[in-house]
Amino acid sequence: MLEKLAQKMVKYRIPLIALALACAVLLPFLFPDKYVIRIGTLSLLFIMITLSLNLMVGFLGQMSFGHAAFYGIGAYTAAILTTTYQVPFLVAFILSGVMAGLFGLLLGLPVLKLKGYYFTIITMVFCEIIRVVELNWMSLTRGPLGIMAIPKPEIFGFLFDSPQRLYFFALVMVILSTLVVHNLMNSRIGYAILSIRDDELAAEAMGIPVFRFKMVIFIISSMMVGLAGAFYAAYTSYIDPSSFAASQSNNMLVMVIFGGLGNVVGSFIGAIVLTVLPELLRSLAQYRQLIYGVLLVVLMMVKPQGLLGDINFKYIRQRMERKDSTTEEREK
Amino acid sequence: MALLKLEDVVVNYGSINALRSINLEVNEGEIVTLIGSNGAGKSTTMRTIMGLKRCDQGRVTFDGEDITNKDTQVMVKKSIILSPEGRQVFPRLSVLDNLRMGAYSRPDSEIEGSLETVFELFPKLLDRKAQVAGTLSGGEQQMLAVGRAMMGKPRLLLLDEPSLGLAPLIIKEIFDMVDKIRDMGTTILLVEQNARVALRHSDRAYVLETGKIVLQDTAEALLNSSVVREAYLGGL
Repeated sequence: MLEKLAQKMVKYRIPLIALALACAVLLPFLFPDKYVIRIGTLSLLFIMITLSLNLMVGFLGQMSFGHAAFYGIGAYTAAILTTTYQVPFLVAFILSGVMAGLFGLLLGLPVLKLKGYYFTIITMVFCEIIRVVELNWMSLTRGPLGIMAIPKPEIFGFLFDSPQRLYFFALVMVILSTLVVHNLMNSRIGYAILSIRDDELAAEAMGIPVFRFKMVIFIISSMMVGLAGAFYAAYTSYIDPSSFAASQSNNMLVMVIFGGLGNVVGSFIGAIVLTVLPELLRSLAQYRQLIYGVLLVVLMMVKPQGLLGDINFKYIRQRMERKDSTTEEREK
Repeated sequence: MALLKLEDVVVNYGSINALRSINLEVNEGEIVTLIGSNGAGKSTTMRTIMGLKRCDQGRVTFDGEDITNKDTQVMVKKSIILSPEGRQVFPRLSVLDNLRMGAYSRPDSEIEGSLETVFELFPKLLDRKAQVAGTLSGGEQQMLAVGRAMMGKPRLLLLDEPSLGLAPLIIKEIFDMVDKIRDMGTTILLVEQNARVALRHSDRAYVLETGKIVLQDTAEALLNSSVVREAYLGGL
């Protein structure tokens, strides 16, 4: 059934993308309510985060429990630069990505040679280390007090001060990151990365520079989530270490797996569903977490690869094109 | 002059000596087989040639050039290609993408021609082109693994256990391919547990035991040697 649905999605992909984009653009005008726009903005933020983590976990196949660390590094870099040092937002925003990428590089150099569980455990520990540093380096991060009054994003004098404007800032970030991930995964490097995920030794025997490509993906993934963190800091205007704890890493991972490992559309679905669902369940008060949990358990039992985990839209398209060409030949 | 030459190669895994001073030669146009039981060091030899495992002593030369402990990418560029043990195809990539990955180190313009050659060798792969490799049968996966290696346009093809876990009829098919590949001008170094079939299709062979070469001769002589018969051919 899912295969049929996927075929429909492939067939109508252009109208579907246009429709999704139109909905995303129109949402803040159709529902000018602050609460709705906030949920929309958070969904967009989590789409960007999920896409970046999917690069690591879904496409490269390296299970990371430390993504919140890079998110935090990005957020703190932006917050500290714009408050303490009065750096303009755009510069701070870019430097947040660079800083997160730099930490990705430093962590990746020793760690990406490790395989499987060892890598996963180190990313967990790294997340905890970063949180403890954020908590205790009082002079830089103000520890548990957090950083307050982080200015709203401002680019070339244009201030993103209303919920609508911030929403569109997030939307542009999502569009750009989708293009980056999509183009990357359809490039030569992308194929090499899928080969590394499927079989590292065979990939190496093909002459693919396995370690270098792992580093490239780790750095890009860290940079993307670092930028998301910078936006988060400016959006909420207050951050403290609790936003970047291990539970946040888990949350991100659940979104990736829910939507489907190694599937871009899956990242969208995972991020949106798991951001909107808890809000819809809010009226159920104390049963909310229970229902949320049960839904996840059921999904993992029915489809452990996530909703779109074993669906490769490109191959479905190739198969459909082949079928079309053979039926055409028959008709002739 | 030998195309590939291993001189006194020693490889250790920690304190375990996997290879203790191996000397081995493969001449251009030959099929050479390494036979030996589990843990004799056959796969280690392949991995060492390929630069996937560092050798601790000794020298590996290819076409007269020292390639000891060079990166795998260098080996691939020099057209030494490994088809790894256990049909290691990329299970979630399509057959076509698997083959394309085999030509990763070559310019895109040369890929189409090689694809045609491989599809001629393995027509079954053409039918399965758009299928995901993990859904192929064992025999087809092995053909894909060999086909993928051929996409690298090898001068020296290293085949690690191509018969592993396959039915006799399929094994025959695979080895017929090996002959064809040699006739196309590719030199082959083969590792096999299925010594009988391998020896029938090779020119020369080495017998490896706990990291040492204990016998070397023409394949025909080894097929008839009583020592090999008892140890590797089931005493028939």
